[in-house]
Amino acid sequence: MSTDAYLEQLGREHGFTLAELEANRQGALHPAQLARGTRKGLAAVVVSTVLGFLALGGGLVGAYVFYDGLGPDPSSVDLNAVYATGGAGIVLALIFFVGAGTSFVRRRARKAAFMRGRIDVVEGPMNKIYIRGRGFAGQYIFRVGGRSFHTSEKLWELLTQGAHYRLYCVADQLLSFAPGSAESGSAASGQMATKALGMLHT
Amino acid sequence: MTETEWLQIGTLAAGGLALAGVVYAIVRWLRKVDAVFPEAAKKYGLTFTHEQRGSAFTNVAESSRLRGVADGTPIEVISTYETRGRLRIRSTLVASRAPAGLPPCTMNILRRPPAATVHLVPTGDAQFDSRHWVTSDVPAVVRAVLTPAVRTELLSCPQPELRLVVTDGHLVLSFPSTPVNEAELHGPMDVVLAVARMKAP
Repeated sequence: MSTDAYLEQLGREHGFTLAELEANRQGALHPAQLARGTRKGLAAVVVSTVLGFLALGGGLVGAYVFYDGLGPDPSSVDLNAVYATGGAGIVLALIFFVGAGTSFVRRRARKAAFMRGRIDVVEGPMNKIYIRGRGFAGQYIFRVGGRSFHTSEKLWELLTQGAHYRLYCVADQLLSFAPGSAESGSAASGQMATKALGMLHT
Repeated sequence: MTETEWLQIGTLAAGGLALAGVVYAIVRWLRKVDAVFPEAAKKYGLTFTHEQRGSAFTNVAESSRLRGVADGTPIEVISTYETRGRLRIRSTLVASRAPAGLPPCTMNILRRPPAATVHLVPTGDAQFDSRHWVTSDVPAVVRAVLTPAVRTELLSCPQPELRLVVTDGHLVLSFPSTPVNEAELHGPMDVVLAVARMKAP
């Protein structure tokens, strides 16, 4: 397998093209990456906000409709049910609004980072981590140069443990990455071994 | 006693026997697993120590360690089982000194073909290459380390994946499990001893 074919495979799984990788290697953002980066996170903000209003509206309208149907002298049990319905709607709405707010703040920071266009280059030995889920889905993680990234099983399988990789990131987003040279691979192995030897006393 | 009563007693007895058989098999298996490290210590002439921290209500860290010199070659094995909340972590490291002049390298020895072949390093040994796949980004060191003697020892390792790291003066073989039988412990130890005893390239 040629390096280009491997890079294409990595790009297909992670979502970058060879042109985008080349732009990142030059220290620049590809226009497609900029468009994606500034757009990313909008859906989460919109969906969370809409769900928040739906929960609020559903809870309050439901409580009002229920109260309206109780007649002139509702029992305390019925009134408690009215408060519970309205309260549940408000609490659920608050959860969604907090989620939307967090997504908005994160999105704004990410957008600002993309607008600045400063690419962080992270490099080092690839450390693959798999956490087998017990009753939930397993987690596929890789760690390079002190930064961890969650990924899919397919992409995780394509990576070589211990090999040297160079990653291009903006804020918390991994844009593209590629394996490094054999010389740097030797250095990478040295780093990994030093870490492992920390546990031993030979 | 009626026939139905005999049947009930017979069923209970058979159930009891089956349960006792299962308990006996589990206890026997656990004793066999517990004996893996002490037996290896005897075979290779090493010192065995076992440590355990934590209880059923806290995180647990258990480690079995072999340390010493096997026929003139220093070797150390650490096998750990750790719990961190819902996480269960098992790992084993076998370490020794590396032959002088060997450049740093990480190689992964797999028992199934890798998803990407860009880092695949064929050894040229058809029998070995049909059963194991080695990946690394330093192919020259892989070919220097995987001598016929080392490849023979690797063939007897049952682990689906082994990682061999060579760095200045040290080599570490690791796998993400704890040995439960002789082959799972002796195999990796023999690999490390074979690499440590090879002539400097």
